[in-house]
Formats: sequence, C-alpha cells, structure tokens
Amino acid sequence: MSDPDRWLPGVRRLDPESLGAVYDALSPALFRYAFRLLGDVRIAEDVVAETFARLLMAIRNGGGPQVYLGAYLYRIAHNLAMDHHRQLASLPLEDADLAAAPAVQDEDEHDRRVARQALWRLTPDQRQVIVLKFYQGLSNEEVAAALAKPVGAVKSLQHRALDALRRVLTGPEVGWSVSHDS
Amino acid sequence: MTHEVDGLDEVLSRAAGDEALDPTLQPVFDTLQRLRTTPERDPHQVAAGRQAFLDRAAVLPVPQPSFLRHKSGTHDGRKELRPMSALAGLLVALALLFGGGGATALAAQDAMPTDWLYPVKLATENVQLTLAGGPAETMELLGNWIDRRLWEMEQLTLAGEVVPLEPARRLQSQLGLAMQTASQFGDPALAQVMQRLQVQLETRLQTMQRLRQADPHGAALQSAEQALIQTQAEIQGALQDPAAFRTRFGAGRPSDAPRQPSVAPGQPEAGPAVSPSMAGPGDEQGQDAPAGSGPGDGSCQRFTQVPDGTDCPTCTPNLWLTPGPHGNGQGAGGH
Repeated sequence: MSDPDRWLPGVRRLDPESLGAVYDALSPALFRYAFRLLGDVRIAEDVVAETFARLLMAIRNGGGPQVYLGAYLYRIAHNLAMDHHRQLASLPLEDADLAAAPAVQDEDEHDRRVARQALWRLTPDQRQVIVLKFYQGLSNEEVAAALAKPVGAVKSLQHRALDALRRVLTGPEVGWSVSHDS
Repeated sequence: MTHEVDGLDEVLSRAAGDEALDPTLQPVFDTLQRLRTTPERDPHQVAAGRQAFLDRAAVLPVPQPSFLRHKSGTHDGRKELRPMSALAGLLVALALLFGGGGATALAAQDAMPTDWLYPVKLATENVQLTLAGGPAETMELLGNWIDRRLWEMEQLTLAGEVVPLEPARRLQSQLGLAMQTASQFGDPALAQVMQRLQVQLETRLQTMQRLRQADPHGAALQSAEQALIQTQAEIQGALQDPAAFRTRFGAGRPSDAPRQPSVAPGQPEAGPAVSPSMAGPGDEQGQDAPAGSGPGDGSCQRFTQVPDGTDCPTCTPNLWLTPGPHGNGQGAGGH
C-alpha cells in the first residue's frame, strides 16, 4: 500500500487534512498522467479537478475506493482523458490541424505528438499499463488495482502493449510515426 | 514468467542501469521517453484547485461512521452494506413505525441500484411523473432521470461493482417515454427538444462506451448502450420526418394543435379518452415501466408495443426488458 492509500480512512470521512494531503501528494502525478496522454496543460488541469470532484461524489454516495486510493484516482483520470481524447478526435478542425502538424510544429513537439499518437493506438488497458508503470512508476500490484485486473493480466497486457508499440514504431507504419530524422 | 512478459520491466531496469536494450525495444523506449518531461504547473492554479476541492468537500454531508455499517457481510463473502443503506434502513424503520412515508421516500433519494431502497427511489419518480404539469415538464424530468441512471451505472462501474439490470431497464423505459412524450409536441418544439436530447445523448453515449470498456461483458451496460444508440436513431428519424415519428409513437396530433371533438357530431360519448397529457409511469400493478413502452425485442420493434412481452427469437437481444402495460402508451396505465 503506497502512502496516499494510508490517508484513505480520513478521505472517506472527508477529513480536510487528509483530503489536502492526498491532493498535494497525487494531483501532480495525475496532472503529469493527463498531460502525457492529452498534451494540453489546461485540459490536464481540468482532468485533475474533475478526478478529485468525482472522488468526492463517489464517497458521498457511499462508494469510492476501498483500498487503493491512488489506483482509483488514476482510473478516473484515465476515463476522463479518454473522454477528452474522443472529443478532440471528433472535431474535424482538429483533424485538419493534426494533418498539418509536422509542418507547423517544432521537432520536439512533433516527437511528443508522435509518441502520444502511438500511445493512443494501444487499447485502453495497454495504454494504462504503459503510462502507469513506465511514467508513473506504479508497481504491478498498483497497476492491477487501477485496472481492476489480476497481476498476471497486467503482465500479459505489458507484453501485448510493448508488442503493439513495437509494431507501430518499427513496422510498416514507421513512416507514419517516428522517422523524423531525415 | 518469461522474458517477454516482463518486457517493460526490462526496459525500465536496463534504462535505469544505462544498459543496452534489445534492438527491437529501443525505438519503443526512445519514443516513450519523449513524453517523460512535462511542463511545470502554475502554482496559483494548483492552489486554487486544491482550495476548490476542499471547499467542495466541506459542504458535503459527512459520511456515516463505520459503526453504522453492517460488517458481518464482509466475513461470509456477501456484499458489505453501504453506509447509506444502514442510514436509510434506520430512517425507513422509524418512518414505518411512525407512519412517515415521506421520510422513506426522502431516505431513498440517494439510494444506488444495489441498495434495497432503490425501488422506492424509482417509485417516487413514478409519482413525480404523474404530477408533471405537461409534456414539457415530463421531458425535463425524464432528461434528468436519464442522466441519473447513467450516473448510477457509472458510479457502480467505477467502484468495481456489477451493475444490476434495474437501472438499465429503467433507462430504456425512460428513453421510450421521452420519445412518446416528445411526439406530443408540434414541429418547432419537437425539433428543439430532439436537438437538445441529441446533444445530451451524444455525451452520455460516450460515457457509456467508456464504461463498456471497463466492463465489456456487463449485460446492463450493454443493454443501456444499445438503448442509447436506438434512441439516437429515433431522434434522427424525428428530425427528418416528424409526422412519421408521431405515428410511430402513437401521438397522431401535436399537443399544441387546435382541440378536436372527441366524438363525431351526432355520436354519443364513448367513454373517457386517453389523453396524451396523461403520459405517466407504470400501471396499477406496480410496474415501473412507462405506460406503453412495452417489452419485446429491441431491434425489431423499437419503442413499439409487443403484446405479450416475449422476445422475438430472430431478433437482437431484448432491449425492452421491463414489461410495461399494454396499450397505446399514452396514459397512466394505458388501456
């Protein structure tokens, strides 16, 4: 059990000190999580705010996390990030912008966009495994809690996620993704 | 545990030790590394967000302490009772003792589908519908409750619980009733209502699709998603051909059309007509389905009445699980 999970009893009582401590401990990580997936500071902040708001709603209704607070929040954040991603993807203008992106963005930004696109090519579970483990440093057990899956399933998702990324980045679609060096 | 299964661990550990990676993993690692750096957050925004979170928490009622919970359920494998159930149970017991039905209904308002007071919550919705002042108010109530059903299912899914069928059934019947109620509007109002509902359902469908990813095999979520998709198709139909939509949902004339005599001149009064404004919840047998949003197979008979409520064996899974009263679907209890 990681540190934020120790505050769970206080959080469930809506104790301000515990809530403040959890916000301080987890909101930076949730922001980074959302930013990596969405690439927009403002939207990432929105995701953080909404994630904590949903935690309160769930507790108010007698639900919410029972053991893994951090994992629960990551799960909400991921779902919110997916909503935002879908909304962005459904905007025709955005599509046009993306198509024009290599011409208008600096190289680093283009690289990040490519990496982000590669992540979005994964299934939701695969993406969560990669982001939670690779970037956020969660253990297999914590990732399993976030995904509500057994640890064995998480390991197998890791494998499939890496395979999928390998295919995307080195397969026939390589021209689409990473060859920016030319 | 194989080398492949722990591929990500290998990437992480070798990267940490500055070791060479498997050549096929190197591009993956390089790509992922590009997202490692994130921008600094604005400290003012962080402080404001934190304060907003604490302010919001401060106005919430403090959840009941654990001693009010029924703890034995956790030891024998049965589901632990929610704190709300314990509190609601207490209120109901007091209400029954002192004859306070209102207190029971009040206690039920926060009930979730897994709570035993949930049927009371649904019953109060039925009562509210019968008290609605007309189609516009009915539509507003239904719009809120459609959101409420989805919220309930979302909360249960996020909490890792199995979503029971009841909220999905109720969602289906409320969507059906919304269509029936909308069919009573004249063309301009119908278009306005349908467009608003279309936007609402579009967002809700996204939510539902996300929930389905979290629980791909959940029957309730599947059923709810199909109902939302069907309703979107009905809305599209209503916008394209309002007359056909009204025929389909049993309201031949808009409610704002000039009144017509209920009997032909010279004919005796034939009995009470069923008024469109009587759109209301289930029948006197206690069904919670809207009158006329009958059971049957979803894809074949969308929103139409099926006399015996049986599923058509050649059709897609039943979307209208709640047996409603059989009738023209416009009155409290139909006919």
